[in-house]
Formats: sequence, C-alpha cells, structure tokens
Amino acid sequence: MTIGSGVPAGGQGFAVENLVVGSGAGGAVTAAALAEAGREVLLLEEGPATDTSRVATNSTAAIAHLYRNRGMTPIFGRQAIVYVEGRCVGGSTEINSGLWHRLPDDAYQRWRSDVLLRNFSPDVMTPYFERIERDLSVSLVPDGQIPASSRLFRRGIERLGWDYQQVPRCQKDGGSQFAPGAKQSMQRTYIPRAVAAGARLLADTKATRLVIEGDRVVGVQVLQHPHGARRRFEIRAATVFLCGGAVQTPALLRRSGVKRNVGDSLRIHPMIKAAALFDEEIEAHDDALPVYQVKEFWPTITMGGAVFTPGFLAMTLADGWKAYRDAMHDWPRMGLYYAGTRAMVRGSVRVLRGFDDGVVIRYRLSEADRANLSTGLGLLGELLFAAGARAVYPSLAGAPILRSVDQCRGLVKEPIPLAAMALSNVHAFSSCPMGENRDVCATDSFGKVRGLRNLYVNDASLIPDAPGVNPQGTTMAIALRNSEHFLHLRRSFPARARPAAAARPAHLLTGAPGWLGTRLAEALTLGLPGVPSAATPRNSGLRCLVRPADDARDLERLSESLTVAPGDLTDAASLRDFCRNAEGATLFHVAGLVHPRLWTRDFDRINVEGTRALLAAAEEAGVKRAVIVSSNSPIGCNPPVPGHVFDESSPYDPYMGYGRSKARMEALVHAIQARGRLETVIIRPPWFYGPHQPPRQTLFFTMIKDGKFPVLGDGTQRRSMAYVDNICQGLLLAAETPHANGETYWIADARPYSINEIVATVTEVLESFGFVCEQRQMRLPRAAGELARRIDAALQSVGVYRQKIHVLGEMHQSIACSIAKAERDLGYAPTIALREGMTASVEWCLANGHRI
Amino acid sequence: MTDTDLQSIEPRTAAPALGQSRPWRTAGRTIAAAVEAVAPDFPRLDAATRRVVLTDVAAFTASQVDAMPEHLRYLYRLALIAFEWLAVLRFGRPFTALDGDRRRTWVDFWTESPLAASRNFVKLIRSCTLLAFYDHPAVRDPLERQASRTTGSTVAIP
Ligand SMILES: Cc1cc2nc3c(=O)[nH]c(=O)nc-3n(C[C@H](O)[C@H](O)[C@H](O)COP(=O)(O)OP(=O)(O)OC[C@H]3O[C@@H](n4cnc5c(N)ncnc54)[C@H](O)[C@@H]3O)c2cc1C
Repeated sequence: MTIGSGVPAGGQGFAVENLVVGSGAGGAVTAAALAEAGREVLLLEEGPATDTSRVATNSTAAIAHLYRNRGMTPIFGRQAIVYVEGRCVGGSTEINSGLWHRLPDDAYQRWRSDVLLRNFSPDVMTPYFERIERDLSVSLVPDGQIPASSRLFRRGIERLGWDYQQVPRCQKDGGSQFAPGAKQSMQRTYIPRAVAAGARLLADTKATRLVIEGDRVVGVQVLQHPHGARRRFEIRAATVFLCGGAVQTPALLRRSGVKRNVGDSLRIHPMIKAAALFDEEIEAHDDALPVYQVKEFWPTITMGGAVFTPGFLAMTLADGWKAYRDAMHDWPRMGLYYAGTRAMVRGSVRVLRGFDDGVVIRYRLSEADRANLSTGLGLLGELLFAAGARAVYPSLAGAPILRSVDQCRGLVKEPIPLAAMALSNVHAFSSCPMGENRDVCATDSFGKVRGLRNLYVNDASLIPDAPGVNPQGTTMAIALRNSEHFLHLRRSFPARARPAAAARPAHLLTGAPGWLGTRLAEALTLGLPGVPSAATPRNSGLRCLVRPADDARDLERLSESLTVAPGDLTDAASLRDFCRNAEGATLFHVAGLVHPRLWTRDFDRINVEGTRALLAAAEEAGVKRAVIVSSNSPIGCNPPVPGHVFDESSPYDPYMGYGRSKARMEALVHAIQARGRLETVIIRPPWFYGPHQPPRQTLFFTMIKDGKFPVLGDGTQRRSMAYVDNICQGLLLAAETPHANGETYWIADARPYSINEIVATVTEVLESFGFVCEQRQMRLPRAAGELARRIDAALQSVGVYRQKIHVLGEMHQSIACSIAKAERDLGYAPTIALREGMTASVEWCLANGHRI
Repeated sequence: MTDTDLQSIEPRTAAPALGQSRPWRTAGRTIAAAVEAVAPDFPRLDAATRRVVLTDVAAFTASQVDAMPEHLRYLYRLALIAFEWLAVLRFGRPFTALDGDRRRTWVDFWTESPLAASRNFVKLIRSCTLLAFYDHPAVRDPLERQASRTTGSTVAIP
C-alpha cells in the first residue's frame, strides 16, 4: 500500500479531484470504484495504517491501535451502551467478525415506501452483492472447522426446533479460517485495489471540517497527527465523499454547518451478552469466531455466538463479578453468546463546540426495546440450557447465576430493568438516510447531500433504518451502487458536446433547467414516487433544449438517457437541431416567458413566435405529439359570481400582455393541429408551486413569514394552484392518452383555495419548520389591487412591464378552474394538495440554500 | 498529604502517566490502586509476575481513560479525584493511602451505590482490569494450568 504518497510535507494544502474521507467498508469501495474508473482519488483515514494481518482482532493491542477511543465510546440514554467502531486503515472491517448478510427482502419494500428510495430493488442490488461477495471470498466455514462453541449453540437450536442460519463470512480459503489475516477486510481487498489503480492513501489524517462556498464544498480542513505530531492544512477537492461511518460522518457534517436531517435518525442493534458453562471443554478462546444465528424471532430478536477470550469472558461477568467470578476457573468450558434487537426509536449524533472529538451519541431505548432485550436474554438462556449448559451468567448487574430454564422464562415474563443491563453495540446506521422523502432524508437516493452540488455520503449512515442483520454487506453494496451511479453521470458529461441528433429520443423537452421543466425531466428519467401514473421512469431517451448560458449539469446528471441540445426558442436553426431525428417522439413545450425584464414585446417573441418556430421544426422532423403548456391568463379572471370556476369552454378574455400572448399561442397550436401533421394537447396550469422554484416563489414565503404578504380585501378570493408533480402527471397523461389530441385541459390541484387558506397553510408549514411567523399579514383594500391593475394596464399599453405591479394587480381577483375534464378524459387525479406541496417546497428551499 | 507521601505508602503497582499536571499524576496513582483493589486473585501468580501484570493492567486502564472523548475524559478525571478524596470522609485518608481491605471496601461502596454514575465509574475500571488481566500473556499459562478441567473424556459435540 502507498501511504501518504504524493502528499506535500510541511502542512501546505493541495488539490485533488475526488476526496474520500474514511477507508472502511464504504470508503474503500468508493475509492476503488473511482480509481478503477480512471479518476484521481485521495483516500483519507484518521486512524493509523496498522497492518492488521498480524493483529488478532480480539486482543488488547487491537483495542489500543484499531478501535476509536480504544472502545471507550458511550451511547447515552436511559442506559449507557458501549459503542465500538474501527479507527484505522480499513475501518471497522478490520475489527469485525466478517459475518456476511445480504439485505433482507422486506427492507426493499419498506425503504421504497418510508424514505421513497429510488432505483433500489433486489434486481438492482443483487448484482452488487454478488460482485462484492466474489471480491471478499464470502463463503461458509466448512463443517470440519466449525468451532465447538458454535456446534453447541447449533445443538441447542436444533433441540428447540428453532429456525437458524449458518452465516457466511468474508474469508480466504486454506489454513485456519479464524487466523489473523484470513478475514478479507478492506486492507486485504478494496484498499490495495484502489491503490493499484492509482489512488493515494493518507493515514493518520482526520477531516475536521468541510469548507463550503455557496452550494459547493471546495475543500476539507484536515488535522494530520502521525506519531503525535500535529499539523493542520486544507485539501481542495472537486468532489468529496464522506465515508466516516454512521457516527463520524454526521459529526463532520454538523461541525461544518450541514444539519438538515443529519444525525437525527441514528439506528442501532443493541445487544446483551451471556456466558454459558458446559460439560464439554470448548477451548473457545483466541480465534474461534461464531457462525450461527437464530432466525426464529428475527427481525425483532437475533441470537448468536460472540468472540471469546478469557478477558472478554471476564468482562461479560464483570457486572455480577462478586457472584460470578468463580466461573473463571471453568473458562475452558465456557462460551460467550449474545441476544440483540433491532431497536426501533431514533437516536442522535451531535457535536460539542470547542472539542476536536466532542461527539455526543444519544439513544433512548424504548420500553419495547427493553422488553425485547429481556426476552432475547431469556430465550438465549433457554437455548443454552437446551444445548447442555450447566449454568448461564447473564451480563446483568446484581443478577443470580441462572441454573434452570424456568429462571430464563422469568426474564421473558418480567422484563429486566434497563439499569441492570450491560449493553453494547457494534452496528450503527441511518444517521444520514438516503431517499427522496425530504422529511427525513439527508441525501438523495444516491447519497448526494441535499443543497450541496458536490458532496456525497457513502457509508453506513445512508442505510435508511435498522436492517436487522449485520450491515457490512449492505453498506458495501450501497456504496458500490452509488459510486457507479456517480461515475455513470460523469460519463454523461460529454453529452453537452455531443451533437443533438446523435440519438433518437422518445421525448423532447423545452423549459429545463427551469422550474417545471426540471421536474418534468426528473419525472421522465427517474419517475415521481407517490404519483401513480408517473412513478415509473420513461427512460427511453430524453433530449432537452437548454439555452447555452444555462447551467445544465444537474440536469445531465439525472440519467444517461438524457441529452442536452444547446439552443433557444428565438433561434430556428437550433430548434431544427433539437428536433432532428425525433420522428415519432413526444414534445413537451414547457418554456415560456412569464415575467419579462422590461418590455412586453418579449411575450410575443418567446411565447408566440418561439412556439411557432418550435412546432414548425417538430412538424418537419415528424414528431408525433406536442404537449404545450399554456396558462390561466388567456381566460383571465373569474366574474364576481360566488363559486365560479372556469372550464375548457370558458371564453377567452386574456389578462394583460402575457394572457394575450398565450391566447395567440393557443390559436397557433389549434391551427397547426388542424393541419393534421402534428398532434397537440394544450395544458393550462394556474399558479404553480413545488421543488425547483425560482427566487420569486421563495420571496412569497419570506413575505408571509414577515407578515408582508398583501392580502387584498377580505382574502376570500380564490386561486387555483398546481403543485408541480400534479402538473407533471397531467402532462404525461396528455402525452399518453390517444384521444387527448386537439384538446385543452385545465390541470391544477383538486380544488381552488382562498387566499386566506393559502396564507394560513404556508404560515403553518413554515412554523412546522421552526420559523417564527408574523400572525397578521399586510391587509390592503381591494381598491389598492384595482389601482395596481390599472397602472399595470397603462404601463403595458406603452409596452412596459413591472412585475410587482402586475402581481399586485391580480391579487384581489379570483382565478379558479375546474379539472373535471382532465379527470374524466385523462384519468387525471392530483395526488398532492396544498399543505403537503407547500411542505415539500419549503423543504426544497431549505435543502437548496434558499433563504426564507 | 503530599504526592511523595502517597507514593511511599502504596508503591506496589507503578502508577501510569495520566497527563502532566499534578492532579492528573495523582489520578494515575488512584487508577493503579483501584486496579489492585479489583484485580482477580485467580489464577495465582507469583509476586513478581503479578506486579508486572498489574503494572501493565494499570497502564492499560489509564490509557483507556485517556482515550475517552475529551469531554468525558475530563469528567472522568474529576470523578477519579472525588473517588480519591471522598475516602477521607470515611477513612480519614485518601484512597491511595488505604490498605488493601479498606480499598476494597471503598470500591464496593461505590459499586453498590444507588447512583448510576458511581457504579459506572467503578465498572469502567473493573472491566478494563479484567480484560487486560485475563488477556495478559503472562497470565495465559497459569490460567491454562489452574483451570478446573473435566475429568475423563470430553463429550463429543455433534
Ligand atoms: C466489533 C465489530 C464487529 C462487527 N461485526 C460485523 C459483522 O460480523 N458483519 C457485518 O456485516 N458487520 C459487522 N460490523 C459492522 C460493520 O463493520 C460496519 O457496519 C461497517 O464497517 C460500516 O462501514 P462504514 O464505511 O460506514 O464505516 P467504517 O467501516 O467504520 O469506516 C469508517 C472509517 O472512517 C474513518 N473516519 C471517520 N471519520 C473520519 C474523519 N473525519 N477523517 C478521516 N477518517 C475518518 C474511521 O477511522 C474509519 O476507519 C461490526 C462492527 C464492529 C465494530
């Protein structure tokens, strides 16, 4: 292994393309995947580069050199839990038992629905597990090598008729399966591979803080401490992957000010141990690692064997030492076992200011956890007696030696107080869960931290909840999947330079990377969880028209099937390029001008002439259908009739310049449709809201928060609003419903809302995020709105547009529509209403650095 | 009572270094004395071996305390000072100046206290001591020899 190669001495900083923080299960896989793809990688590791092939994992020397805080890390709560994790090159994989599990099937479904995890199914993940299993030589211990302590354990299980499993291990064949160096840890697998592919490894170097500028991490401050010397410097990086494990990763993020859903949902598998005295000499000491686990009570309770040395045995007896100590005389006939539970509450990881390592882990076990641990211990005792134990020594303070099955059953009937339990934990996860559920997830479905463009988490922190099995396998498979996803998106970067005509797209899209356009691109390439008709991605080639000055990188990252065609609605040649080779495709025309900078003539230039040129190019290229986004504005405002709503037969009454341009556009679309070469559908969404919103919509939140939103009149005027996912659903249905050709549809949320309701809902949502909101808004007479409308009309008559006056001029009017036709014809069924949609919008703002 | 007094009374197990300042040096001696008080007497070791083993065990235990996260380490050191000096209220002498029996009585008093913090304080020292003691290379042979073995043939395990 090359340690520290290429790293300048003397403490000055340097720059790398990819910085991977932490060299454990997640970090080693990430570094190897990136390096083997030809990327420049620096792998940073806080712990030392101790060669663990010569250290038995269960010695005091291992504790001193390989364990974080030498194993002295408590989890605070109703009862302290001893928490152990690795801190060395290779991370916890150097000190663990190497027991291997794939993710159980039930977790896939749970994570899809709980955290809206995308692209995550057994079909997707199985190949990753298989590849890693080959790399780590995951295999079963041959029968002849199964240690006596495990064979006794199996005897007990079989006598009780319980379900159990021999768990495979990451191990090399030949020689003792338990000898140091046999286990295929990261030091023996992925780290050498990463280094062979050119990655550099820097040990004894801790990332202390991320350097964040705007929406990017530009570098990482580090503390290097080889052999006690300390120096601090900064490493600049284009992309940073955090793989410090489920405690250190959230600690680093929080220390760096990244806190949203970070360190709030830690999950663990706490366990309690017991020693058993048998008639047989087991000689369980040294390297006898356990291989069986009881599955009868899984996932709530798991039981298995624990690593044994006389020292570990004595530690297990420590809580009842006075009563138990004589058991040490019989140590050759003793084995160590555990009962663990999948604890159900969420713990937290926090950092204390002013301390380099001031990490505080909290986990308040619930009454159910207590009962499960107690039951687990009782069942474990029963099993051990069935295996032939003479006595069982539970790791409990002040408890008697258990000498009968009845005593064990007592533990099931009457749960033990938590205060008496000596608990430990070696599995931690879920502290930065991944997924699209912004309520709880810190990252997207592939580990990208929300709100930061180039920061990824790729370790056990991502696992959305306690999987109920040993987690190294899941951690590694997720890390490999995410790394390859990242590389896959990088490979699509050159797409910007590819000629637009290269591939035949099934969909064309204008208006990305704008608000609705981006969401629709996401719907087409990734699917929209929670919107049944849009849940499945339409991954058959999407080409987006993007103005040359716009930043399309996020868009390009969505999918390899997405290509970008540089162009503009005002540039007919670029539109022809955009539509080239798109025979039979569907065009979504989302781009439009709503608020020009100053001149109203731009409305016609973009909304009418731009659409004319686009549809001409589409016709010419043989595009099958165009779905065109219009607006409520061609129809104007509702008459003063209580409960009035527009439908598709309502007459045109365009509102100002924008409405006129959209009315002309609709007329143009009808004319083109009548020619019969291009199918068209017009969609009229009113005021929309949701993720990817522009700053003006965030200003709307800020005004409500500060009590400065102008409520005109009594606030009972109604507005139809449309959450972007609802609009995307409507657009997709319009594209895919044959008889929609030539039709126009209003697409909005299920019902209109009064201005008062909108303001009250946004206030409540903001308060639920901890914002302190003014309870009263600025109240203005209706006449103020009418005055603004007249000024707006006067200005627009001379070709001038002022956005604020225009918006104020609309605020005293009702703009409400009926979606009945879309429901009837298209099967449109809006899934998101105001509160949920506004919650998602506020979350998106917070995750993307919008200041409310 | 000075540091020198303390050392001259209980020099049996060499005190590990636990920080440079005077209170921490005293804390190192408290740990060494507490380790002696909780160290098991099985297997029997000759005096010289036991002394070497307990010195190593005390060093291990002290470095475990030193390895705690900073904020906890300070709290634990304060607890060590309290453990040392509260003994004066009961025995008229600090913990390290007590004889073996009294030290064990004082340790038991803390172990059986209704306060979780004091129980946990001793538990840490006891656990570290037991681990380092029984996994000490010099204890391995006596442990093998003095273990109570089964007589007759070992029952086969399927
Ligand atoms: C004793 C023990 C036994 C276990 N047994 C099993 C088992 O049998 N089977 C199983 O599947 N799982 C087991 N596990 C759990 C498994 O090892 C972990 O779930 C897995 O290793 C987690 O991978 P990770 O990448 O998230 O973190 P780790 O593997 O812990 O790696 C994190 C690495 O990042 C480094 N790091 C942290 N912060 C920083 C920083 N700021 N700067 C630089 N470096 C940093 C750490 O030093 C560490 O080396 C066990 C764990 C332990 C502790």
